[in-house]
Amino acid sequence: MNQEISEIYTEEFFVNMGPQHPSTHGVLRLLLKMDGEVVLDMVPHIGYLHRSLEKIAENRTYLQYIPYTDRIDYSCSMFCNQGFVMTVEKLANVPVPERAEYIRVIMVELNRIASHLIWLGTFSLDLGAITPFLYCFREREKIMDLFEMTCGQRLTYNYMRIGGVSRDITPEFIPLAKEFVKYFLPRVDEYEEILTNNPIFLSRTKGVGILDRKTAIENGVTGPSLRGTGLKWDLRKEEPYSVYDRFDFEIPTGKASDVWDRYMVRISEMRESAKIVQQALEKIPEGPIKTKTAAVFKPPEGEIYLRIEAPRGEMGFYIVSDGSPKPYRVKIRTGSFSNLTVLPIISRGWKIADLVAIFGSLDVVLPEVDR
Amino acid sequence: MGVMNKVPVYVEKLPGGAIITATLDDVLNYARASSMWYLLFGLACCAVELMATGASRYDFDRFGMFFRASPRQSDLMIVAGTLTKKMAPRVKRLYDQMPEPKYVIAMGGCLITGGPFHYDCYSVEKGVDHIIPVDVYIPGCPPRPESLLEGCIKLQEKIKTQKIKDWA
Amino acid sequence: MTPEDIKKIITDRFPDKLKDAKIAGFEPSFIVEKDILLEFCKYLRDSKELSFDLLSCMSGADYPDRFEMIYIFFSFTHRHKMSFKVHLSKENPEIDSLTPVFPGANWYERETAELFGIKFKNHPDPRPLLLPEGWDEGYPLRKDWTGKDFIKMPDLK
Repeated sequence: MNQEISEIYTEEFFVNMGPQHPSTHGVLRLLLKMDGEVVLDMVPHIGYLHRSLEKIAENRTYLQYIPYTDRIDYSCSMFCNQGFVMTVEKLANVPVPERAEYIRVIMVELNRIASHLIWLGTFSLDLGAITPFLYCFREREKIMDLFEMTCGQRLTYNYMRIGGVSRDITPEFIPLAKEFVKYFLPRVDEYEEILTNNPIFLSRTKGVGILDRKTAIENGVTGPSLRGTGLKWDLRKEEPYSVYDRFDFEIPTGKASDVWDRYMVRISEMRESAKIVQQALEKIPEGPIKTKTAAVFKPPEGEIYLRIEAPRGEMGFYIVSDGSPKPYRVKIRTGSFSNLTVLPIISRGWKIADLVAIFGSLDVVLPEVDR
Repeated sequence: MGVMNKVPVYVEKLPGGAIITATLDDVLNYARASSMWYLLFGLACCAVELMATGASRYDFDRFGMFFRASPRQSDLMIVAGTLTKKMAPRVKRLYDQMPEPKYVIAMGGCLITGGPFHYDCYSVEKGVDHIIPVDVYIPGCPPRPESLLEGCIKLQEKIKTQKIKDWA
Repeated sequence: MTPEDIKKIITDRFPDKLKDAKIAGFEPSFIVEKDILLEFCKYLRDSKELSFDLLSCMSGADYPDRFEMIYIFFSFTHRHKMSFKVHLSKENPEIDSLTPVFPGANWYERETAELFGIKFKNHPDPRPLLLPEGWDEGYPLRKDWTGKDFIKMPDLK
């Protein structure tokens, strides 16, 4: 009758956390080897969203390929646009006017806030808190109103062009964006009030899923997951591209590299992005928004690799051009592909409910993994 | 179950029996249309617009629609996103697990004919109606939340035209 | 360290085995012979002046007369970069796997193997990654590939 806890009989078995699951944020299949409730090993199966974007690139012109870059990662499509367009501009030596660079930075940092809001909403929904989900989507609707005013779309923008942007911002954009930033900064305090010092949240996330720096660098992890291990590395400060060297912002890092640290890094990044948008709105100059390029755009022969700091890690584009209007080979390097490889390593020995928290903190989006 | 199947057909043949079946039709259709529980099945970009429709600005809950994680507890499957050849057998398996009566809404251009991935793509299934029968198609890439709500209202109108003797 | 210093150190250590290449943005770039690949990468990772610890990207490419593998490296300790390519023959594209030296190369190699048909020797887990199970229609990213459901976009002129 009075059985000791250690005498509960457990055995090893396999569980399939299948492609359709509310916590896997997309179509990912995890094959788990469990001993009772403890995860012993795990094999991720991917490829359920492989849309062959690299093969499509070989039969489209550079201008026709820009809408496809939106679909690489739909929650941060301005970044994917910017990465591709900057790579082609550097290959063909096309200069970009100042006003276009400032507009790009404003759009991209607003998109970083929107992407982190989706992450925060779904992460807290996984842990059981439903209210932050509704709050985050309320803020996101305001950002999408700003985007819709500029380029007409809410999710996949197709906004940037080779040599600038496609449309100028309307005169109502700047006061509305300033009002948004003033409204948004106290909201981040509201999210922190619900979650950061909550005893349930702390006991589910403190000390869970520790990723040490050496494992992270060996496996190619970048982005907020790498900054959570304490390494102060951000491409916007170390190798400044576009006009990032004119703004004043901090790089948040973590100390214990557990789930709670990665959460704090992303919350602080939202505040820093709001500050960057505020500074850019003050300093934006007048001028043209796009350099004129040839009607049939042919970059010179050569190869190039360029990377930018996307919300989930480094995003890199490797383009081989043979002098014709269509690229010869495009390779897309995304942050989530490498970040997912550490999931089996850091979730060994934890229970299956902790696995949900660890996976949520790595912020993996499946179209980036499968392309 | 075999005995109850033919009851509506016989009731209708009685004098005045059509009044009973018509009223029963209206009540059952109204009950089914006003509380559809949908399966959380977002595959790609359209899933974010599905989540935004369920959030606070465009609300699904005022239509009685609420998300369920398991196919056994839902009667509507909103397929949102691109369907690849690797995922197609799993969609069929999920559809088979749903209990009758069940409905399917195909949301997004990728599910109608492949969308932007129709040409030069080796791994995309060009249309979800190769796998499962679809009731409402919603075009767009991705469709706005208002389009999705109009699609749901059209599905409710379709349900209200159903008759009980067709299920026999 | 400047790109010229890195180029000098590497060419001094491996004379006669390297040729020049140009990958813009990540100079210095080389073309390395495939026999010395593992030794070359161990030297890049372990030497104190270079210490390249992040494998930033790895990819394959299909040219009319050869296959190519491209490797791009970065160093967090010294903040410098380099890249190199390896040429493989069309009839028998085989190369050593980098997984013992850089564990992050595991999934990149699985993806390249199933999309191009390049074989990686001593890979710990050579299963397909992205394509459906039971895929038997060839290697899709090769230039001369076509399949039964593959509709090429027509030229609109």
